[in-house]
Amino acid sequence: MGHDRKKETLEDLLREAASKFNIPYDLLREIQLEERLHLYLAHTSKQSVRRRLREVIQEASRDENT
Amino acid sequence: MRIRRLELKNFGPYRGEFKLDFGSKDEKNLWIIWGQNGSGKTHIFKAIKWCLYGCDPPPGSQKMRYGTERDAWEFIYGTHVGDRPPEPYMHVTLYLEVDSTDSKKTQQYIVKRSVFPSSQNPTNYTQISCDFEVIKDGRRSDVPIEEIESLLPIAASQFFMFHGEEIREMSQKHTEQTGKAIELIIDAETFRQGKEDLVSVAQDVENDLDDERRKSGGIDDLLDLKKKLQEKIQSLESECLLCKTEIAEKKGQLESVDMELAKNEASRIVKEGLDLWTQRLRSNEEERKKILGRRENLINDLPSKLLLLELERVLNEKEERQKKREAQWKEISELKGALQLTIGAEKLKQCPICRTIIADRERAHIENERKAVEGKITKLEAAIEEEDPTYYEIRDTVSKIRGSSLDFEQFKKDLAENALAHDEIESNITKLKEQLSDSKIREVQSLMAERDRLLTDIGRAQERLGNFIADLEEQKKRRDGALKMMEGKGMHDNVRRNLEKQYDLATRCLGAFEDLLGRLSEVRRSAIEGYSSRIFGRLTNKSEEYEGIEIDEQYNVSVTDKHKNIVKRTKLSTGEKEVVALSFILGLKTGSEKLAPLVLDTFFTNLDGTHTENIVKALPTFADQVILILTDSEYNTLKTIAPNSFFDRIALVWNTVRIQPEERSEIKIWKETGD
Repeated sequence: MGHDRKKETLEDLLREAASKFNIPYDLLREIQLEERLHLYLAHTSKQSVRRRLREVIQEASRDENT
Repeated sequence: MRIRRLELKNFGPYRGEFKLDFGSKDEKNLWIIWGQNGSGKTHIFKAIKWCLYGCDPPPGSQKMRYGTERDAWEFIYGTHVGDRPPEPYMHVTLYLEVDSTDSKKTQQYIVKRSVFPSSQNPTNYTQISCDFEVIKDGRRSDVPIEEIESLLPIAASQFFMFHGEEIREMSQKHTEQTGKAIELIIDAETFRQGKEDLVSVAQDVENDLDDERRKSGGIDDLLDLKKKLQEKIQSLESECLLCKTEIAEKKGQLESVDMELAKNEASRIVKEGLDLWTQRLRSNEEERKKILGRRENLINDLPSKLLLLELERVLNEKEERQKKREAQWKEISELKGALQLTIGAEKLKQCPICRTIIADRERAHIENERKAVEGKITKLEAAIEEEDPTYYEIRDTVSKIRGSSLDFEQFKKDLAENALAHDEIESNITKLKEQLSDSKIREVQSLMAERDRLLTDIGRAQERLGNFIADLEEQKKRRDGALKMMEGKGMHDNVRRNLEKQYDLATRCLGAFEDLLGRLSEVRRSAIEGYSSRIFGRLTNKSEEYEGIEIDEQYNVSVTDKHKNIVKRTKLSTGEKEVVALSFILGLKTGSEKLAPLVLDTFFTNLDGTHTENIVKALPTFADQVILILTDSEYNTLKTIAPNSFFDRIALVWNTVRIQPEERSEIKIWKETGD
């Protein structure tokens, strides 16, 4: 229950920030990425995480165009 | 997450295998492990932490240190006492059960951390190997660290498992600890990492965009300008960060100095009194110097004083002669007046009123009178005393000496008064010094000097920060101007347009991220404030006086009274400060919204009876599983003051004992449930 409440607040704030800065919610969610730390812990390189992030931004900007 | 069983072999002072069975979920959710100092009770606490994280994470730490051989070596050899060689093989195994959030099912975990020697008779940590495995519902996990992180992150573990010493430390250093703790709760590290990645991606996009812009041609100057401005902005941003860090550090130091000064409050007051009297002593001595300066003048005048009598005698003689001379002059002057009258009368032929003619006979009489007056005047003028030129000089000297003899009286009076004041001041200083040892004086003096220095440093750093921020804004405006000018130049192809879109999006994301982190921090801070206040309300022994706990934007934790005013920390006793720290840490535990056992090691030491009673009453409600590690005296106190409801919740009591002469620890069940 507690975990859900925390998630709810975070998601509410993510939605608000996304709307305020005119950004797709999914994109902001992807950047926040709770698993980010776990990726680093699992020795995933920073470069590959950032490469993925750039792809996400690239896709999102393409979607914005259409 | 609940601990079902703890197994340990050769861990710390324990030799051989030991098992602590906690059983499954039950209404009885309290376990007690008690023992004398050095009997190995804290090693049970350490075993739980080492098994989960491979180390004993310090409070406020965000550093991830998972299971190093160096830590393991410390546990084997650092705690070894006596001549018997330590066992090179050890392990700690935790059996956990976790209620999954999405279903009613309970998951079973076995977490095992072991150490083996990799060579015979190892002499350092490079000659041992560590093994860590997590078995989830019968299957060995490929990512054991991640499994534990998802159950209870290493950073959050400090809100669930803590030693009394950590609470005592936290009650003294709130600012540093609270800031870090709140950052943990809001996953600030994840956000920081996200922001860092975003900045890096935005930078990559910008570099690609600049390449494309360069290809369009004609804007090299603008690109160079933009690059220079960007560099300046980055350097100003680091300067701002350095300033902010410096301010935060100095404020932390200032808080410590204030705490030290508060501890020396009585000494400080005496010291201030001493300073005041010392200043008065200085003024008194200056006054005395001035008075003594007057004595110098008086001494210089002393020879004339010795001649005063002689001078007075001479003056008396001269005064008599002077008086006689003055009388003579007065008589001559009167005669001269009469002479003038007779001369005038002689010239008259008739009376000016009745016009009667003056006869020769009367005229002859007037003439005779005139001659007689003239004769007298001549006689008197011949006999007149000669003027004495020294008379006035002697008269003035005598008067001056008489005047200075009056100063002499005043001098003696002033000097006596000054000496009296001096004695009073010195007696006050002696009394104050008796209350304050020299070392205390020096300590308070150095603390006050340190405080002044820190305040000056903070003021300067804030001024520098203000200047940097103003400069930063200016440079950002110039950079934006350069970017605007670039927009109108060169050809717009699709690649460049796409990159511009990406850059715009990345920049917006960065803004949203900063905004989000600020808002999330605020939401979490106020939630933790609420949780801590409610817990504090249950634990404090002054609930009618205190309202709750307030956490400000700089993460300072304060107690507020019923009028919402902040209660000065100096007014809180050591025990009260610990209750504040405990309430805050339990507030953080609630705020972390993780479900894990609460393991508390030796933290009742400084608390009075009422606080201890309030805490033990509330303890079973703070978590599904509470494990208390107590000294024998703490356990005895609990037995006398804890209510029956507390004993009703006890599932099992263990006792740790030190076995002599082998110098090893053992643990045995001390069945005392609900007694």
